[in-house]
Amino acid sequence: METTFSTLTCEAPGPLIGCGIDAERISRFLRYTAGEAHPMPFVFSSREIRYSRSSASPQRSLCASFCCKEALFKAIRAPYDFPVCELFWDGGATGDVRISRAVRRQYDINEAVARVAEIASDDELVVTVFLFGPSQASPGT
Amino acid sequence: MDTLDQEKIADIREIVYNFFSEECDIPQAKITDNTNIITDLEGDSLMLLSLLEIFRKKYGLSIELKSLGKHLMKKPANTIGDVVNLTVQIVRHGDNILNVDM
Repeated sequence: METTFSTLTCEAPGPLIGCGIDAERISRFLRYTAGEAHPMPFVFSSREIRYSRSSASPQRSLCASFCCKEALFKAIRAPYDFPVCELFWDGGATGDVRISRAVRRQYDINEAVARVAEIASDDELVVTVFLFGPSQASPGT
Repeated sequence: MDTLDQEKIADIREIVYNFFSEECDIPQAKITDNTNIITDLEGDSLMLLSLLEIFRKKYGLSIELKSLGKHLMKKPANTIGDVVNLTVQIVRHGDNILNVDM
């Protein structure tokens, strides 16, 4: 499901409770695309590895996924186990970010949105993660 | 500390030095225990995780990132010597590293 939101139309899925950003060079992830074994089990989930290997550019997929995990770390300002935050990115402006129920409950996250963009060169990705809390009733309703 | 521990520590130290030398394209002779990973080598979290992956394969480490992160918030690994010491403690204690006084 793709979530869209706009600061102009107040279409955010709830109050913004956190935001984190991270950037990495895509070429650094090339080493993790070779071989059959899971390259970094304490960073990537098995589903992310399968997804990346089926994508046109596995290193871009892994790079975006790693940036998303780092961005979530910055947004919640606390360590967590990286595989519980997964990003499935098909090359568009947003990725499908999935965070475990335990982490969402712990930090009161109702929805997470990941924006992915190339910066500076073709070899660098930046991912911004926005975290939204539960919707609140408007005043007077 | 027995002989095996000393051998393992020497092995870990060699791997850490080799890793940062190759990753940062710096002659190993220029790296010391006091070399700062961020300011001197421009290292980052991906490098540390890549290094951990090497040790995970070599020693079958089972530490979770959440435990490691909590530990690093208390005891940051700023220098090469810190990383060597951290790795030794992870190999020894795994997720129990949080309960270890370093």
